[in-house]
Amino acid sequence: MGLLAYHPEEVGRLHLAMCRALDELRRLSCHDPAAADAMRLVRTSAAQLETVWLPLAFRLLTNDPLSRRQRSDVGIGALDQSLIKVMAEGYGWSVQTDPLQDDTSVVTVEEARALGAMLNNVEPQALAQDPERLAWLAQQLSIIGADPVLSREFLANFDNWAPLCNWLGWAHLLYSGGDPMQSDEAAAERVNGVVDGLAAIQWQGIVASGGPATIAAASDAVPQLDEMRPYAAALLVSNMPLTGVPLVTVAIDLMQRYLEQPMTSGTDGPWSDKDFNSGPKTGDLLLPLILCDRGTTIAYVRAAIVTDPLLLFATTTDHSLQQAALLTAVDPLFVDSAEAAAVILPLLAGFMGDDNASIDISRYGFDPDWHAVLGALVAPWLLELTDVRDTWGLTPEQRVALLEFIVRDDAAMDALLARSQAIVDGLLIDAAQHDAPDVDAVAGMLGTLLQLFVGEATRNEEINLTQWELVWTLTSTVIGMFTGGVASGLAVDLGASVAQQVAAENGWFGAPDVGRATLTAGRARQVVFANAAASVAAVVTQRLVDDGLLPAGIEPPPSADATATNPDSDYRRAYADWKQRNGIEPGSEAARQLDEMVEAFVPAALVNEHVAEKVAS
Amino acid sequence: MSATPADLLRQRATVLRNFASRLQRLDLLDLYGTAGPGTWVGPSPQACVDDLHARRSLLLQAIEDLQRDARRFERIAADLDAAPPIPGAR
Repeated sequence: MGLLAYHPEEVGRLHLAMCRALDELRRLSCHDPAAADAMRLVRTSAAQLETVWLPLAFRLLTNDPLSRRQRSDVGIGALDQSLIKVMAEGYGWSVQTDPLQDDTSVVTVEEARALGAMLNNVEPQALAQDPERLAWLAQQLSIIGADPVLSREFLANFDNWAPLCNWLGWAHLLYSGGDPMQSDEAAAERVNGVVDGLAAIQWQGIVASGGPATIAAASDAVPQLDEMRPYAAALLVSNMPLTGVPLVTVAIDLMQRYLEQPMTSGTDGPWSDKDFNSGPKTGDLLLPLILCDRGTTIAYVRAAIVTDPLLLFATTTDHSLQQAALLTAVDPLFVDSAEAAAVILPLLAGFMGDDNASIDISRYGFDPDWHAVLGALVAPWLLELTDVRDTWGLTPEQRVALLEFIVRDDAAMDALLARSQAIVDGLLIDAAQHDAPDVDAVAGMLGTLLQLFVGEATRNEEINLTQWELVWTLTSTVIGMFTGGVASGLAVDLGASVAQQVAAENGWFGAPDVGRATLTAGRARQVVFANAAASVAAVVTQRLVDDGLLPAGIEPPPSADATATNPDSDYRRAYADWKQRNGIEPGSEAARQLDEMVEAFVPAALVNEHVAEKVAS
Repeated sequence: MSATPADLLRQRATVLRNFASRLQRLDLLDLYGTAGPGTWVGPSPQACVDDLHARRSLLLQAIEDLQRDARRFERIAADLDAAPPIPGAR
């Protein structure tokens, strides 16, 4: 049983009009067979009027309307009776019971207006905790939000954004982990359903006002922003299809408001994310939306670095969101070296405690998770931090010092090594953008890295086997890139199949079997470089044979012996013997090309080792 | 003199046109305006106005059908008038 409201005089007029219409229908007649369908319609319309609608109007005219008390007893104050209440109390209409229940799948313009008006006076804290009303309201708002006309009518009558959203935000926070005892995903989703509907309606208003391009400040997207808690505003925005610069503008503004937000005073609420020790924060709601679009993500990180780096460190509970944004913002596939430097260098300087750093990490509360992120951020830009490039405006000592800072931390180094593919990707992109890097440069980079990896406390200690595997993976993938002929302009340019064969022979598809032998850090480097040199020699020899500079059927160059006491010097000796045995004369073109490639790794590595040693000491 | 088939078709067309014309003037077609939210609101009033809307649409369609049939009958009658007489037919 529902309720209906009516204007008695208008119903009287309607009753008369129905009577006239019924008389007309009764008088109509046409016997032509072609009019049979029309006559059937006339008869059913007359019957409907006579048996349903006229009696309804007649009942309203002859029965007493409900008294104020009776209205209250039958629930006129309920949210789903908004229209009846508005018409009765706002316009003085009469109310009677209705045998039909409201069809909740349809919202009329009048219902949209009335719901907007009723929500101005609803008790928001109670509503935010009432599952039944929330579900009903979410459905109604969703229907309204899908329709520009209904949205316009709702917006014209609703002006209770901040109080309602603040309490909805409070409930969402409460159920999302703000109070671990009350965590309830379904309840949080119910609350979000209502906010989603409100956001859809507000979005219709934004579209009607010129679209998202007109959003120049958060207040253009969020109504009553100054009274709304940042968390509540973020919840609203997170349900809007915002992207690009408008989203960055709004997100930065809301996160700054979060940082500046005082704790809630008194015991009346609504409480917000600053008042809870757990649960999501403003940034946790906004970052998923930002991360949906790469361009938006990059723009957000740049804006945060420039505006206030604290946004990156103190606006989310789930730091992985900010960290994912940072990784995107330095991805060499999407940004150039200078753009990456603008993100990485301030962060590194801040974490290193540089007095001149624009980021003072000590303000933000140290989180060890961030060291691992630094390793991941730097991975694709290793060349920029070694002797090879000076594009970031750093001295060689500064570059090595930054790398050393990263690899000093186990988590950072693990992250760096786990992203070996990102290192290779970075080198590939660098090779495509610059003149192709020469083999000396890569050998130098490896030498610096290996020295740093093993040059700390682990020198002369037994190397952790996992660490050894990671070092080997990194080294083999980097060198494999060159011997696979991936980087154009290198002296080595062979097909993938040859490179694969060479790699297999030299154990590049897995760490060499070192058995149970004790591996010292220094020896680890020797194994790596001996294998690298041997692989390069094999590849170059094959190419020289193809070019006719060496005879077909020549003895293959030696492989490195991972079990030797000194693999690198042993290899150099074996390599020299091999050249002599096979008549490769010193000074010949074949010898020059072989020496250029093979010698590049070992001597260059040794040179860079000394650079790293100086910094480490 | 008895009516020809063409005459009969023209008579039917006239009947249908007159009937369509009466339907066009029915108060029922405008009743939905009086039964709208300026008069009453609620589930039954909404059902009433929806029903009146639907009947209005059906009536307008029926009027169009009647007018189309009338035109068709007149076209056939004209074709019958223009056709040569059938040999032997009176």
